[in-house]
Amino acid sequence: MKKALSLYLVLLLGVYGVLTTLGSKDTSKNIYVTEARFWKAKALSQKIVVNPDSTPPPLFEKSRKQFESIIKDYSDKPMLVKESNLSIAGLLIYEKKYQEARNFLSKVRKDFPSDKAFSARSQFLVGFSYEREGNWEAALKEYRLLRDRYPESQLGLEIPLYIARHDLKTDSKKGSESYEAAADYYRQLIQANPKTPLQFFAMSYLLGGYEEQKRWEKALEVLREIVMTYPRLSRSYFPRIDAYSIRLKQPEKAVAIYQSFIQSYPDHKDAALFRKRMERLKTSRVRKNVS
Amino acid sequence: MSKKLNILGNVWLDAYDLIRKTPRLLLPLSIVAFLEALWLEILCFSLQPPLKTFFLPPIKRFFKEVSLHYPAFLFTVPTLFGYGQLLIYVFMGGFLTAVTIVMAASLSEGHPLTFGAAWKKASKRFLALIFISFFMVFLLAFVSGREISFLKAGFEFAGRGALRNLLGLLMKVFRYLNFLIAVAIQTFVFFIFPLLVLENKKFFRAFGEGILFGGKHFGRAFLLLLFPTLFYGPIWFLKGRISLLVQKTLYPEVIVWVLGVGIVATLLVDTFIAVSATLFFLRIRHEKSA
Repeated sequence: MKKALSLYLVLLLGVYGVLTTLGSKDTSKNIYVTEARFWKAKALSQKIVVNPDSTPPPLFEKSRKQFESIIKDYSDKPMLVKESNLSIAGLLIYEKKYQEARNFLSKVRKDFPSDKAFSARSQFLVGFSYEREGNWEAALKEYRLLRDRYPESQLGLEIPLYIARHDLKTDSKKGSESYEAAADYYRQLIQANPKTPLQFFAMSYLLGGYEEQKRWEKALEVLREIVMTYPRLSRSYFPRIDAYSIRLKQPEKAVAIYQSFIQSYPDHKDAALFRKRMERLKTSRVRKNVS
Repeated sequence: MSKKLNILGNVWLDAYDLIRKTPRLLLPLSIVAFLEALWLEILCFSLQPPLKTFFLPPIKRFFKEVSLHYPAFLFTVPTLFGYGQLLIYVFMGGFLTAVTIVMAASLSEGHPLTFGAAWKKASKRFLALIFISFFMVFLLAFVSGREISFLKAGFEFAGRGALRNLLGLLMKVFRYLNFLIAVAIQTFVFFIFPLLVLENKKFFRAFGEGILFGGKHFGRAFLLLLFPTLFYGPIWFLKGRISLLVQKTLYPEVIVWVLGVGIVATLLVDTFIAVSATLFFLRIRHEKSA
C-alpha cells in the first residue's frame, strides 16, 4: 500500500510539475493565472480597506508587494499596471502615508498621460488623500480640478454629488446649496451636449441628486426629460415615474408624462403597455378621489 | 431483534480490524481515488496552456462566459469533477469495489488472495460489473431528488393551509435527508456485486437475488451502509456551503481542497462499506447454510 501511495504521489506531483512548467512558459499568455494573481491581490487590499485602522503594517506591506510584483511581471499589460498602481496609491492613503501617496500618484500619472480615465482616477485619489488627512479645502480643490479637467469621466460626473453628500453630512444648509450647485452643473452639461452619451449621463446624475434629496417633483421633471429625449430607454424608467407620482399622491403627473410620450411616439413598441399603465394610474386617481 | 442488530456491530468492528491489519484492502479503491485526484488536477489546469486548447471550447459551450475566468471557474469545478467521477465510477469504481470484495472475502475466510489474484478473479465479470455500476449511477441520478420535485409540485398546488406547511417542511427535511434515498438504492443494488464475484452467479440471477437479498435484510443492510456514509457528512456540509467558505477565507482554491479531502474520505468510507458489506453477506450466507 505504501508503494502504491508513493507512486500516486509521484505521478500527481509529476503531472503538477509538467502542467505548471508548460503553463508558465509564456506568463503573458496564461490569462487565467494573471487573473488569479490580480484577484488575490485585489481581495487582500479590499479586506484591508474595509478596516484599515486595525490592519497591521506588515499586511499593508504584503498587499503593496503583491501589486508591485504584478507591475513587474506584467509590464506589457498596461491595464494591469494601471490598476495595480491605483491600488498601491489607495493602500498608501489608507496607511495614512498621504504625502507618499500623492508623490507616487504624480509619478505614475506621467506614465499614462493620454489615458483620461486613469488620470481622472489618480486625480480623485489625490483629493481623497487630502480628505482622509482631514484637509477638506485642499481635497475640494483637487475634486474641482477633477470635475473641470475630466468632465466626461465617470468620476468627473460623480464628483459634484460626492461633494454635496460630504457637505450634507457636515451642514444641511451647505449640503442643499451643494446639491443645487451640482444640479446647475449637470444642467449646463445637458444643454451643452445635446443627444450625446454625456447628456444622458448628466441627466442620470441630475436625477440621482434629486432622488437622494427625495425631491420627487424635480425627479419627475428629469424623468420626463429622459424618456422624451431617449425613448428607446424609456421602459426602464417608467416604474420610477409611477412610484414617485404615487409618493407625491399625484398620479396625474405620471399620467401626463405617459400622455406626452404616447403623443410624441405613438408607434413606440411599448406604447400599448404605457397606455395600460396610464389607465391603471387613472383608476388609482379615481380611488384616491373617492376616498 | 437485538441479536439481529448485534451482527452489525460485530461486522463493523471486524471490518475495521481487517482494514487496520491489512491496509492493502485500500489498494483497489485507491486506484479510483488516484484517478479522481488526477482528474481534479487536470481540471485545475484546464484553462491554462496547453490544456485550455481542449477544455476551453466545451466549457465555453456549456457554461456561462464568466466561467472561463478566475475565480468563477473554480465554482464550476465541482460540477465538472462530478461528471468525471461518474465516468470513473462506471468504468472502474464498480469493478474495483468487486476486487475489494474478493480480497475481503478471501481474507475473512483465512486464505488471503493477492491484489493481482483478486483483480484476475473479478475481471472475469468485468462487463457485468460495468453494467451494474451504470445501473446504480443511473438509479441514483434518476431517483435522487425526484421526491423533492414531487413535493414541490404538491406544495405549489396546495394553496394556503396545513397541507402546504407540511409539504414545505417535508421539502426542507428531504433536502437534508436526500442521501438516505441514495443509501436505500445502494442497499438494493450493492449485494449484486458479491453474488457476481464470490458466488459466480449468472448475471440475471445475481441481479435478481442481489435485489432480493437487499430487500429481505433491508433494515440491517440499510443501517450497515448508512453508518459509514455518515462519516462523509462533514464533506457534504462543506460542499453545500462552499460560497460562504470562499467568502470567509478569500481563497477560492478552498473548493479544490474540499473536493480533494472528499476523495480521501470517499476512499476510506467506500472501502469500509465494501468490506463490512462483504462480511455481512458472508455471515448471512453462513447462517443460512448452518
